[in-house]
Amino acid sequence: MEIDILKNKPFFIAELYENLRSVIDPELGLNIVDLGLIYNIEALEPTKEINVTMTLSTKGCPAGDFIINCIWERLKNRYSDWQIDVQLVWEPEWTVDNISELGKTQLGLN
Amino acid sequence: MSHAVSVKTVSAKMISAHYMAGSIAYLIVCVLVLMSGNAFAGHFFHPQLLAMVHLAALGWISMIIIGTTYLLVPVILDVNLYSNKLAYFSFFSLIAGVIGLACTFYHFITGPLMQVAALLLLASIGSYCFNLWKTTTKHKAENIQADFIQTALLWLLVTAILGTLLVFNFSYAFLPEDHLHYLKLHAHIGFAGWFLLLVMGVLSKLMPMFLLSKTTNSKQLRLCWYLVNGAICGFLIDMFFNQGRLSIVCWLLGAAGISCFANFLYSVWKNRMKRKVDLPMNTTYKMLTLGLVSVIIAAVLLILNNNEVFLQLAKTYGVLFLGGFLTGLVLAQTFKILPYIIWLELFKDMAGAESIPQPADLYNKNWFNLQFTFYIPGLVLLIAGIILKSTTVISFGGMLLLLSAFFYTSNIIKLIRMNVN
Repeated sequence: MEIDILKNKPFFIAELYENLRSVIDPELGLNIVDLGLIYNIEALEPTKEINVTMTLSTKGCPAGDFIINCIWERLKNRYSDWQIDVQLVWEPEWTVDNISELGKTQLGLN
Repeated sequence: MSHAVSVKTVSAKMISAHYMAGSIAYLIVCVLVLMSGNAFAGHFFHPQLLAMVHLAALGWISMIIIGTTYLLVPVILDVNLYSNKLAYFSFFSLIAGVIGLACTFYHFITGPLMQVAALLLLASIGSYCFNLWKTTTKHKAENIQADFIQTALLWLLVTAILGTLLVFNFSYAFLPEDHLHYLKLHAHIGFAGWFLLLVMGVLSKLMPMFLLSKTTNSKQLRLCWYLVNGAICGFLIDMFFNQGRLSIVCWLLGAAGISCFANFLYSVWKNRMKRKVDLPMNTTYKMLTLGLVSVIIAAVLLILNNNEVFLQLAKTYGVLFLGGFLTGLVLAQTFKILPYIIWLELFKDMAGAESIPQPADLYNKNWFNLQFTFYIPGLVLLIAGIILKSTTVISFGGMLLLLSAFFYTSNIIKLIRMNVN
């Protein structure tokens, strides 16, 4: 079964996900959206807030700060009048099952 | 906005320094192989062979492993390194100790100079083990990788203590059995206890992570841990109280543990999501097979008596384990770890930049390929030379290995210069 991670998301949220596809995990060489590191993105129109909930593939990952800063910079550059908050969570724990179908194709699995 | 999710450990420059020192030691070992081909013709207890083995085991392989663990152990266990100062002390005393021991072995000066070098090494290894032990025990939850690393540290310390006693035994002859009896113990605790357990602990985490594999069978790893440690403990008891008469039982235990680990790695490979495997990972898997060949040779050695064939095979076994399995792993894994460390240093503050190269773009892939193009035939010729007792073949092998070391070191310098500039 193919899962389109952008399906049923409002256009703006979909655009945010698409923007984050340009952030690449330096070790795995795959973008963080298809890697399944982004758990949720919500945009609060009245307060102009974008809240990103994400995880990392490994706790204590040396590139963790870099990835989080990348997300913040990419979104801030594109939506400068919005407040960006990136929340790092460890539950649920990331597994390879989080990788999207598109990600699997990029890894050469499909 | 500031986040701090990464663990604290020694600087990238300090880890790079371990790689630089290790690559220089590797170059020197290859020069020595080229120059001292006739040392391989006789008994393995030959001064120049002892110098080469210690330079390879401590100055080359352990140096790189120690530098790498300062990054990997805190990451794997999600804890900060216990002490940066101890890491500095350990690094400089390791260099001084290795130089002292290699030089005194080479010229076989068994007096106070060798004893000071041995004590320096013991201080270096002791401080490293203490530092890593305190780091790993910060991690409270049960973790099989922590168990592998902690037991590897214990065995490393036992190896270093035994080695120091052997150095003093040259001058004072206080050990009840002959020197070779303890040398066998010293070498095997180092091989199986330190190198093998550490490699198993680190690879059991890195391989599924790098290959994006679903396999994380900790029961299989736990069984492997019990079997390998059981084999080492059994060997220690058997050698001390039974003259090594039950070595075959210990080998069987160890081989069963290694089989468990090989099965784990096969499962990781089979269930990987990353089908396009990069050069270092591909090479790592190929190098692992050399470890299995060493284990088979070890079994043959147990059956043979102390004759001429035994001596040639014993040297082949040592060369294959240190110069094949471990060197091959280091030559490959260096290019997974070091480019990543340098990359983080170079680009950590450029999170917003549009085009940033990947860590794999930082090293020269042609040099990496050339490194292995010369390494494999070099190793084959070296082993062939040992078996055929041909100094010429050994020298040819040494020459190819030296070329391999040259390309390896060139890539290390290229990477480190990026960070310095």
